[in-house]
Amino acid sequence: MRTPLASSPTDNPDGPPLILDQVSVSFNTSKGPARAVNDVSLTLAQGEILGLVGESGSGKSTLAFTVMGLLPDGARVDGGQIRVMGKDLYHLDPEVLRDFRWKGISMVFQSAMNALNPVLTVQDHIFDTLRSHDPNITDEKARQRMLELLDLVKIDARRARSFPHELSGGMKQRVVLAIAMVFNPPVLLMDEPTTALDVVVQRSILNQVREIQAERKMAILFISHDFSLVRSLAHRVAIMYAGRIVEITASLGKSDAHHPYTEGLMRAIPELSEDEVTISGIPGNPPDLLHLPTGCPFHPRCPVAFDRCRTEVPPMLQVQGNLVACHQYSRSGEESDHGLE
Amino acid sequence: MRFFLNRLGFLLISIWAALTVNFLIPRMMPGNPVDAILAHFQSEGAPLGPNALHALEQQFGVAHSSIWSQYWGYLQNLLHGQLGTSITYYPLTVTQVIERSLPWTLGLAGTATIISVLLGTFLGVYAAWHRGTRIDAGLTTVTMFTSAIPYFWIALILVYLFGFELHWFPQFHAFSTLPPGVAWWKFALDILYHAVLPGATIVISAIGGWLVGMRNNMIQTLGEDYVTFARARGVRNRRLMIAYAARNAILPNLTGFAMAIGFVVGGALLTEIVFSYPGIGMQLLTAVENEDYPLMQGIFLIIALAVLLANFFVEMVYGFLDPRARQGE
Repeated sequence: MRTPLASSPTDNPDGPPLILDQVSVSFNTSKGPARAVNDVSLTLAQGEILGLVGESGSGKSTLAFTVMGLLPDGARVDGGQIRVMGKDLYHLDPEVLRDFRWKGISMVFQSAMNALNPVLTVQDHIFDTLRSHDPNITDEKARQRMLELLDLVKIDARRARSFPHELSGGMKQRVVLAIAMVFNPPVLLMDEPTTALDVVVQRSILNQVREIQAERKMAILFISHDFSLVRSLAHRVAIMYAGRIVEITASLGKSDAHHPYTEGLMRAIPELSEDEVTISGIPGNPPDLLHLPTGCPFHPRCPVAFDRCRTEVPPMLQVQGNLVACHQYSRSGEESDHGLE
Repeated sequence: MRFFLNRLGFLLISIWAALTVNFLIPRMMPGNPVDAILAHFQSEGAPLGPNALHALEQQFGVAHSSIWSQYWGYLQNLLHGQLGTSITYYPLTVTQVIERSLPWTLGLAGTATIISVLLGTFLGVYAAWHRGTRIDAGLTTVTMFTSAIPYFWIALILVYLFGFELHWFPQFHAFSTLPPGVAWWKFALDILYHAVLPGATIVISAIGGWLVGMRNNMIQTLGEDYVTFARARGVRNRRLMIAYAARNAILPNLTGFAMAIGFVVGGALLTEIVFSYPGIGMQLLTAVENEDYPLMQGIFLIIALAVLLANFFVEMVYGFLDPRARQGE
């Protein structure tokens, strides 16, 4: 479904902080182009945490790097538009883009373990970030800002002189979070920020993210493959499959109408409160991005697929207040039928 | 500081081990210098008397005492800088011979090695930054080619082309015979002029390795997350290239630097032979040809010390560049 704002040519800084409109990205491989992101449209509202869930290879991280304008060599945006605070990132002067990144939008990387330069201290990293955008900042001011940031992520100020190898995994991730907050950006992308951490550290970091978000009110796109984690954190959840958003939903109750893939994901999570735990996976494997199935990319694995699914890509439909890209909800023309199933 | 003391201790132990091996090896070989001289005189039909024999034994330190007292004496002599008397350059001592030839080798091979390391590393950074372009392909291909050529062959070609055919540069020696009282700068220029061809030989053969090594390390670090993260933060290209990519890419090369600096002393052998350059390599060849054991032993000692000291020096630099090494152990 198109977002009306994105197609308007004028920059609108008061609109949603992040708008993606029909964005497609592909990688050049030796066997031909592989579509990693396919026709993705998303809107991130002010102060919202939007979860983006999908399995490995579904295009979540590629989407994040596309939004940052940091796609690696060999990847290109085939179409669509991305607006951050009303600015079209792909039509900015490189120097303007360099400065806008981190002030308008910043990102917490998947691998905090490797996101810090091993030969620089925590202070060097924060000072580098500040000086890259404000070359004339005084040491005193930079130091002041650094102490605020370390306090924000609850790291002892004495750690400023530590090198990355002297920090624990959780501390590194906090430092990366602090670096992402240097300019209080209105939009923050978090790409699997807690994947490499143990559950206890994971929870303390997520609490920190919640606190900071409640205070600073920035919009967060939170990417994860951990369905239950995203469900507990995000206001809305977008589900990605084979490069496409198949559902955007605010409610993940079992009785709600969902995409069959989402239902499969939900069935795969055990409910601890139930006496008998039954977990079932989704049969089959995610598709090869070089040879995507025709029609709906999920149809080969879908339990409810019918003829139309094999030929026609389903559009996003409004189903009980959620957005679902599935033909079963347009079959009868009566969306409400499904929820009673 | 602890790191420094730790390394220093290790250096001292290594030097002691090198000295000991240097002491043992000649004593495990058959024959001694006095026998060699004796044989030399006998073959000329002038046999030496027992007095002369005793005098020679005294001079070359051929002792009939226990190995422990010999070892003790050897260490004491070393502390006083006494490495014995050279047979080839009799009556010069080994120390004197080394003192005369070491500056030439250090000046030529040392400078050439530093030039090739610096230039190769710099070009490697440049090629990696412009990876996939024509400049990168050109630099990599040309230097791969030059580093694949045996370097004595490069030396011969250079001598033939620029020395023999074109007469642009001298073919031999480190300096020419200048009239006495000539200005010092003229002498210095003359030395430089003589050093161009042998120096170029070393640079041409060595630079490719440094360039390709640095380029490949650098391409790897450019793919690291911390480089992408820094780029995302808006860190400017120059700082990204130097403090983030090159600073990390150079670390694996440091060990190579240590080896190269260490081998400066003994490694320029073939270049010195082709150009008749009066350095350590030439002396080593002379010593081997004349069975000059004291000189050989002295040169081996100097080479071993050079390798150890270079390693120590580079480890200090490593500790400075890589905070992880400082903390280790």
